[in-house]
Amino acid sequence: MTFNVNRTVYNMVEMKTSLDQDVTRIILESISDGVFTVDHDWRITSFNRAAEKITGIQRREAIGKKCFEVFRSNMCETDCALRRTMREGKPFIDTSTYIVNADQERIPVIVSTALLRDKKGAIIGGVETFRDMTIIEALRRELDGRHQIGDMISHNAKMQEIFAILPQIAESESTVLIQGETGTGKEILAKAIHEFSPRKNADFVAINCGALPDSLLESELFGYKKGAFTGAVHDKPGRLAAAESGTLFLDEIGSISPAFQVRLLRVLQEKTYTPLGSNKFKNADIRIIAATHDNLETLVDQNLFRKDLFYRINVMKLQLPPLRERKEDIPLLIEHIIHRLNHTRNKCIQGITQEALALLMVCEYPGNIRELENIIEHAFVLCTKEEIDISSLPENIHPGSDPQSTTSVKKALEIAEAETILQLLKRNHYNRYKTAQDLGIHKSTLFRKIKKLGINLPKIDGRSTHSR
Amino acid sequence: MIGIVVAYNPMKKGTKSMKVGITVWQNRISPVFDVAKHVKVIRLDNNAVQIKDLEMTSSLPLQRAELLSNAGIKVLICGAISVPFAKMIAGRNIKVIPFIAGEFSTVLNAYLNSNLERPEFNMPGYRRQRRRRFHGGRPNGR
Repeated sequence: MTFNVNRTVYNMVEMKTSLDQDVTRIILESISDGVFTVDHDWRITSFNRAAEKITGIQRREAIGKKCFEVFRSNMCETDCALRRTMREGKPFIDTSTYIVNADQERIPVIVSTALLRDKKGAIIGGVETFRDMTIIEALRRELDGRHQIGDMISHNAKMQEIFAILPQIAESESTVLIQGETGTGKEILAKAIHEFSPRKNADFVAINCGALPDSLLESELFGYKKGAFTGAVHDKPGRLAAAESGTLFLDEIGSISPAFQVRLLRVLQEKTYTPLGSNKFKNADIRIIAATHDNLETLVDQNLFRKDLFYRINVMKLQLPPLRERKEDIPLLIEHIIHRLNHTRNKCIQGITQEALALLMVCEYPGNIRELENIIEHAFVLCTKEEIDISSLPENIHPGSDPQSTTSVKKALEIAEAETILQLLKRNHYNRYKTAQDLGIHKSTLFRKIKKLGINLPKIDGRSTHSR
Repeated sequence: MIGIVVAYNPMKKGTKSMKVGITVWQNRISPVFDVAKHVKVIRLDNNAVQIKDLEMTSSLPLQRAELLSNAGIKVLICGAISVPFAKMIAGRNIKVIPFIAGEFSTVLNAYLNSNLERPEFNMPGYRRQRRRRFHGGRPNGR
């Protein structure tokens, strides 16, 4: 009798264990996170359905193999999370890494690890769960894409306004005047307008009016006939002819002489021109986009630029802000430049260290984005690590061997932090709560930072339009 | 060191010596070439095998390819490798044999004996393309 009772209890325990195992198996098979377990010899003991899907490896192939030969993460050799868990006896959550699949693609994943124990609590191995971040990464890139038009990229409010109206401007046939300091991307904006316009299948032709003397500019723009002047041994079509049905970009238009302004005005008014040495008019079916770093209105006031020409080209005016007024774009621009350079130079630089970024955030950039590009290119050439650090930056930027360099970096970080907070506050109309949300910190942390960094705020608190 | 039995010499006829690189970690093939730290450089002469160590100091494709190329390596045997690295190395005229798994000595023996194409040396999930052999006859079956 006693034997039978024991037997029944034994059977019930066995059934419960079997049921528990079934439930665990069903749960593991139904989740979308990859899960595998290993023994003390790092050999895979279980491999769920999602793990098969993410890695592209069948369970029967994976079981019994060394985990690093199946998972193939960049952390396996140097900083394996599972190894750390086994060594330190504690779990690690959401470590970002990548794995290399059989198609030689890098798949971004986040991994979490924990110890695997038996019923008595003895460690029998480890368990690793991992999530495929490919879609998240793609969505992140798509979101970034909202801040991009053509080759222009920005989070800045003023730039966003330009991006918003750019398709309508491009669609129209109106002449556009782009104003902005040197290196702010006037030509890139002009190209973007062309790319979005109905003329996109024809050529975009650029000419720098400030770089050529009058006579050369005239022949370059209008072209010439054979014998028009000494050395004109054959007919040469000008840039106007090259831009036929397309877009002509006249850079540095503020530099052209009063005499040439008259000739250009005729082209804009009559839509015709005469090549040098010819007596025949040619039609000019082109769209003009002009750009200048000068303030044309000031030049008009000083009688250095014709008023009628100014009104002809100032149909749609776009003002590009200098980089010092859109510093929130610096991290995005750096990422964009690194990505482009990686592509053209066949390198694999992952990004920039926080310290180097902090230094770049406090620069004034008189040369604007072009200057930032040059700095990153300089660093790109010298960088031998995965990330650009301070030592790769040009000497005029990084603190070098200055014994107070640590202090400089710390100061630079504080300045960059203060500037970022202030810009976000302005963007959110000084609403502290929204700003804290944007920064991903708690409201009270933001208040503490504002106090610590000595940021002066107006009395408006952003909750209402009224001042206190 | 290791027991290497050379039954077949993979060097081309007329070649005096050749260097083969194998990325190694814990005496096995490194799981991912992109981040592998050590390469065993095996110099094969007609009757001798010499092994030296090469440290991979850079993590960038161009520098890694240059390190291998400067070491005179003509064949690289490695684990998983991503496209930018594979292309950069192939661009240096180095033959890449990727997605190999196993113990270093076993893999080296297999390579020297032309057995590396066996499925047991493949990393799980990787299907090595079989080399097509020409058996004569006209192209396209004509």
